[in-house]
Amino acid sequence: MTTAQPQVTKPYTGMSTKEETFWSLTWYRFRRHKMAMISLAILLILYTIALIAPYIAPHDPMDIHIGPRFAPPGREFPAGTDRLGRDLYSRLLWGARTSLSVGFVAAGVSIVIGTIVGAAAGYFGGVVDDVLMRICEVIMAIPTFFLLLTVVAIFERSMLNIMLVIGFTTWPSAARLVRGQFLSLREMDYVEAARSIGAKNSRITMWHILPNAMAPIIVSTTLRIGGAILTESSLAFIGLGVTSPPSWGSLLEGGRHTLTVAPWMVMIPGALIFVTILAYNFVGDGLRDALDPRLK
Amino acid sequence: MLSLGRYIVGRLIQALFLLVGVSLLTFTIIQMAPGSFAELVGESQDATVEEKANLSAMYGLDQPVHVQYWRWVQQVARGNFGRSLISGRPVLDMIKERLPATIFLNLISIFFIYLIALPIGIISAVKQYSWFDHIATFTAFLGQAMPTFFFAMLLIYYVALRVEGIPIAGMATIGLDYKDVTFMTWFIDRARYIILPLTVIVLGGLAGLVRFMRASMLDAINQDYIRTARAKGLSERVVIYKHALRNSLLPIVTALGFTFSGLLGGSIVIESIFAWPGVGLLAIQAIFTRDYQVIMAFNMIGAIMLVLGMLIADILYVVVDPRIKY
Repeated sequence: MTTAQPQVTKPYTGMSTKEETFWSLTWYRFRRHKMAMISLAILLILYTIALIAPYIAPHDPMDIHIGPRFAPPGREFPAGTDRLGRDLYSRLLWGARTSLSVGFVAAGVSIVIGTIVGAAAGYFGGVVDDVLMRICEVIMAIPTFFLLLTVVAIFERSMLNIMLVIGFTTWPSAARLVRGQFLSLREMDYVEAARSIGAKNSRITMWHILPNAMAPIIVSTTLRIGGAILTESSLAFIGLGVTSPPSWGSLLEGGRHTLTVAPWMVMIPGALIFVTILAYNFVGDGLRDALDPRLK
Repeated sequence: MLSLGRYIVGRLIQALFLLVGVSLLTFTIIQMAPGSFAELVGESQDATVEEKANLSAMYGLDQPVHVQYWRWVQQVARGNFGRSLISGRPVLDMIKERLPATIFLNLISIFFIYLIALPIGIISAVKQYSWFDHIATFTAFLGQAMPTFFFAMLLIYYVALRVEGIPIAGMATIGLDYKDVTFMTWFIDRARYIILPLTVIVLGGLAGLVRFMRASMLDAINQDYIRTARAKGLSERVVIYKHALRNSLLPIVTALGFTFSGLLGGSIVIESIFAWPGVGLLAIQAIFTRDYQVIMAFNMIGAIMLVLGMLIADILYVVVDPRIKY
């Protein structure tokens, strides 16, 4: 999978016109993917809601006895209330904050570590590559979800910790992806050219190879965010998720044992998780087609 | 074939190093745990400091870290994963008695996943961009985004609570011994209990394999030898189902190796929802009670199965595809 785009394979001149052309072309191709555009719109709305949640939530998400217990969704409580009479609508708005941040930060940690490790392994090769890849293999040899459970159970379950743990346990696959890119790109003529004029390793990797390896990294990041949201909600379902303020997964877990009395407590957060992950998958798919039309 | 033997030996040595790495990693993570076991047990029993120290000494937890690790590795190498810190029973026995339930559920799931996914993927590829392909691809996309626990809750709410005779927890009716009843009674009882977890696992696993099979088949169809076969005037049937299909199945065979490795860790969430008495449920209990011996055994056995799975996948690949060099 080589992704060198003709637009950026020319020597880097420091002028941004070429890159603008690349991104506007990408945007042009992305716009034709109908489901990806709808998904992008849904994600933008969800992120806006997450940002302004404190201002639009009618109640404090943690306040109990705001309404009767288990009030079904209605005019006063658009998403009903829970076991302690808390307003689920407010809790869901705040939940968007938690779930979306967890996805974003966890995927960010995963892709940043993966990119650094993968770039070093692919660029330097030899012993560096061997050592780093063996470490990746060791982490990948433990079933991911179980490794996650082990670590989550041991450390304090704060929001930050859960983000970090998801990031720390999922970076090896990103490292392998980036390594593959660097392995093929380092043989390119423009890398040779840069080296011949005395460019340092840091400059070659950062400014010459990385931009050309960006397409699969971006696609992988998008899919990783959806994956991290799913992982957090699975942890939450077992009782090991983020609870203050609760993520969508924790909210769903809260209704797990009262399914017959208050099905909305499970259905609404569940649907939100499903739609968010679906949207990320569609955007990832659209980006893949847009960034590298030859792939399809 | 001599070199195949050497290849396998080389891979085995590699696998051994991998397992040493896994054991080190697992051990390190557990050492980083803040609350000690003695404190955990002590708190619930109002133990004195002295009693806590005795407890630690009894389990060898007062020894230096490297001594503890070395002792543990020696035992593991002999197939002894120690005793549970909570129940005091040998960890291997605890896992062994839970393993049949997990394997039973997963083998049946894998069977149905392949049975359903392969034909769908093949038809999708052969009739690319047809309405069938569009529906199959879109459904697979939905399936990949559906959280298993949410799907399980939907099934419980809309099916199990409305249809008579579909239990939502357990594996068999308590007290029903297969020796006392006819095979049919036993079979129906098992089927009633397995239907929900099976549906969730199969639909969850279907999506990935359908997409994989479709891609693999498309890849095969676009090869030159298919054009040659058509040019020779072979019937479309022979071209697709003999020439293309055989080659497209090669990567699928390898995928089976990976599926095998997912047996242990894959069903933790499902087992927790449906109270399926397998290893996943045991793992969750161990994690909540900080039963380190069980947790470590789990990570190790999980890794051993994954490494074996990859090994089998690699060997299968070499055996079924003579073009692969090793």
